Amino acid sequence: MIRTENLTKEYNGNCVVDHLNLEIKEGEVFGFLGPNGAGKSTTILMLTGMIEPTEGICMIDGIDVARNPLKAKEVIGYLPEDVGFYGNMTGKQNLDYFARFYGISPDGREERIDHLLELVRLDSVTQTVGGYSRGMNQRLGLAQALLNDPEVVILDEPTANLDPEGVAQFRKIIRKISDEGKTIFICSHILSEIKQVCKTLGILSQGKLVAQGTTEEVEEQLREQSNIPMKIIIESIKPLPELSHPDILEITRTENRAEISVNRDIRREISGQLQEVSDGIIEMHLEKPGLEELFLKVYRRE
Amino acid sequence: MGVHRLAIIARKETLDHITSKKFLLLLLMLSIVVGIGAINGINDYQGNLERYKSGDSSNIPSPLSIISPVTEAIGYYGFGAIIAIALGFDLVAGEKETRSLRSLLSHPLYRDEIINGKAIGGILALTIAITAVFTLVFAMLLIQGIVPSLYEFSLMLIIWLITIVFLASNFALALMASVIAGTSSNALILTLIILFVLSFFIPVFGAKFTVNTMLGDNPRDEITIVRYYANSEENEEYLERLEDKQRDYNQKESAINDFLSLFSIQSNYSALTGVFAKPPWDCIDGTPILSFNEVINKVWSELLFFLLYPSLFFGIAYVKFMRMDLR
Repeated sequence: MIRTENLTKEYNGNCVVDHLNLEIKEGEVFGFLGPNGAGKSTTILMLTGMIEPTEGICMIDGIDVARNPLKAKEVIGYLPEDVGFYGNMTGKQNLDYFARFYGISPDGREERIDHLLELVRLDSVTQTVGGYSRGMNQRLGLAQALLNDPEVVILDEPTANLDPEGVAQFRKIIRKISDEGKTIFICSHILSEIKQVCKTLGILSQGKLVAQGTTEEVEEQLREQSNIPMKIIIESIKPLPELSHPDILEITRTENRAEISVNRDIRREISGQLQEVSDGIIEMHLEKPGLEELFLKVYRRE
Repeated sequence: MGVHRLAIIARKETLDHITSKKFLLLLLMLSIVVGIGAINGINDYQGNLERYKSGDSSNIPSPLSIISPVTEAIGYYGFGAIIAIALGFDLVAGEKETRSLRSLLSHPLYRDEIINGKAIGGILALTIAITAVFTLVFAMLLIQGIVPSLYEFSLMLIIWLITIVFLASNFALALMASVIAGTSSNALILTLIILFVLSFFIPVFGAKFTVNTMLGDNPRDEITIVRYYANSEENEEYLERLEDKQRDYNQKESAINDFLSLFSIQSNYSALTGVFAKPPWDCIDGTPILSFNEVINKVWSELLFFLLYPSLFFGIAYVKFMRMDLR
């Protein structure tokens, strides 16, 4: 549904997005990560037809965005970071203004806008947007991104200004539109959020895609780059025996508890050494470093 | 460019302008100033009419003379520029500040439709304002029993049209600054600086500097001294040569002043409205002494610069907006 081939953008000879190759399938919820200045926003601007690439192409639903930006915009819904509206108009008036560009009939507009305002819980708000809180603004932004019932929804930092209830509501909406078969592209710094809603991830660094795949695959790629070990935690009601294995990096232990640092999962191999206390084992589990920890480790180093 | 999308933007912009408190307040202010100007013009007209009736004057006063104070309020006293700049300076910068520009651009429309729609919306709002003001003046004339002839009415329409172009020039200047500057406040400052340079710096300081540089000292002082001591034939001849030099100097000085005045939007407006509101080509028994083409020939340079400005400012605004970095 979204495909980029050697997508490149240069500003004054400085390569902001460098030969980016992305492939996102229909119905996928894709998380786009990267440190500040990685080129995420520039990529989004090219995907939404707001700026032209220096080189390469980006296709949305088979439409070449640079050649046919209007057609592409008709199938895209976009929520910009820190979305803004016309402060002198109500939320409904703002949406009605934008909806006119899609050639929707007045009745169709009214029906769609009422539905969307209800979806983002702004249906009872009558004040002008100038008096909206940032969270309300963000919710209205989500409504405007869904105005044209788009096939592809691109969300830039969608939960940035939302309170916990708003975040939960946002997740519900994302799941709902994902269930409808829409392709969702989310750019966010909130990694826990990304992990909760996205099925696949891509990480951009210095304009280049450095990792792409399912959340687990990307975590694995990052773990390899970061060298942060996994931990096997063992707790027992009986005193634990001495444990040894060539892949054990470090053991921190007390009489009944051991934290074993390893580079791979060796639970099966060490379980034999735990035979004598097997009836006293309370738990044995593997702890992998979280996406956030891995991300910070890799990009702090850069 | 889609006419439908352009119309959506122009309609929204026009409605935004004419329903804003800023616009209504400025229109009220303009109406008051123009109304006072019209009252003064009517009083002068009636005084002149009385003098004509009593035989003290041989000139029949024209209702067009009432328009002069009106165009003075709009042009010379700057009320037209104020309303036009107030409408234009935050059109793009304001949208950048509130981030609504990116939201708008995410929907299916081209950039040029936005800038063109904004320009059309602003000019339509200004046309509404000026039409309201001219209608007010016309109503005042009729209430006072002053009925312009068809010929005078057509001249008033020309002045109305010139006034719209004058406001459009100032509006285009503010729009250009709004695209160039990052914020509304910077856009306003930039507009005022450019206006100051065009209306005052070039025609006044620029003219003085150019005259001094190109023509040197004015022979006037030397003539005064020579006249004081002139009592010989030799001095008389010298004085004549100096007086020729003075005439030549005055002509060149006048040409420089006239040329540099062309840079002032307000001077061009005054020159153009002046020629129609106080016609030197006034009619005798309903027959104009000069044809319309002959009149245009008298003010062609002013007309050229007058039409050049809105095109230039809008052209720059258009190009800059199309290349604007949206990051």
